[in-house]
Amino acid sequence: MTAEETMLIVDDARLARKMVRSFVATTRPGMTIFEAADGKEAIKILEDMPSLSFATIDYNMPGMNGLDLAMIIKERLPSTRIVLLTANVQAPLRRRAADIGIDFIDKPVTEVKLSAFFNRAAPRAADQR
Amino acid sequence: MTERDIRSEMKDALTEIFNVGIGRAACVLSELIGDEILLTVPQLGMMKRSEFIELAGQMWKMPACIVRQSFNGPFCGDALLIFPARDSLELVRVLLAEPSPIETMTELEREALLEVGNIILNACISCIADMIGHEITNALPVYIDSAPGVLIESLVLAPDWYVIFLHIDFTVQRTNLTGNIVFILDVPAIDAFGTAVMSLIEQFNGEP
Repeated sequence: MTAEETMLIVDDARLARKMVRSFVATTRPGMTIFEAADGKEAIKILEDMPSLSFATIDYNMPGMNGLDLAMIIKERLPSTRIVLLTANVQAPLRRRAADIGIDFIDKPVTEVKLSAFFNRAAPRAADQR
Repeated sequence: MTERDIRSEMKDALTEIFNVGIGRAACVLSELIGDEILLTVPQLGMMKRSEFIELAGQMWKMPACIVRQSFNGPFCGDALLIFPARDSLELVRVLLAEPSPIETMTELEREALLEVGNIILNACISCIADMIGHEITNALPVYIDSAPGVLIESLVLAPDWYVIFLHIDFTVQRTNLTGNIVFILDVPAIDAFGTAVMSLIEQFNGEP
């Protein structure tokens, strides 16, 4: 892992953000983590960021949904590896996530699921270096 | 941490736990009816019996169909799935692939709705059990035709008992269906549930 790796966790539930943060600290120690409670807050954080390595985004949030936010992040920072982290595990939503080229993790998040996401993300991240 | 912070933290955690449970339930329901279920952000309230009975009277003025499932474990209580009667008929029509609107609930339609309730409540209860790391067993679900306020009044016996009320709208793309899930816990149960939820929160409190 390189020192400049960053992650944005977007979820309206504090518990969900804490769980992701805790598992990231175990699996990728040293990563700089930012948190946002909704899409609007996430966009505000992104304004000051020249790059972002990873983003975990909840789908069902007040205001903007997670897929719309993912599209904005992809447009602004295309190399960011994004995962939709949601309790809504229905097939149509999984398909929509795949259609826009983002990963999918069903809640509750676990260390194993998050590690698998980082492993899936690794080859593409290596290609981009 | 102040008591207010703890209450806020607890409410946040409970909402998330139920949210995960309902997400699972919606997935199963979606597979059953072959259509996507759109879910709203869940709203959670914790209130005393008297407050809830008043709220129930305001919320459900129309007849409702209720599936009740009692559960037992480190805490025991009742989970209720409440649908407005008219929405229930539409859901059953979709489930049973009936071409025309259903006017009244027959035995077959009640059984279908009971099964939907069983799936949704079981998914919620199982998910809560998994997340807090305790086993919770479910009794068989029961179908009840009643005004929700009247049923809750009969279930929640003591005035200081608490009700955890979760409001979530389900929208099926081919029809509109609104459902509510209500958890009823007595004081010892809510204390035990609170302890279990707090220990889950504390597991992840190490990180800033």
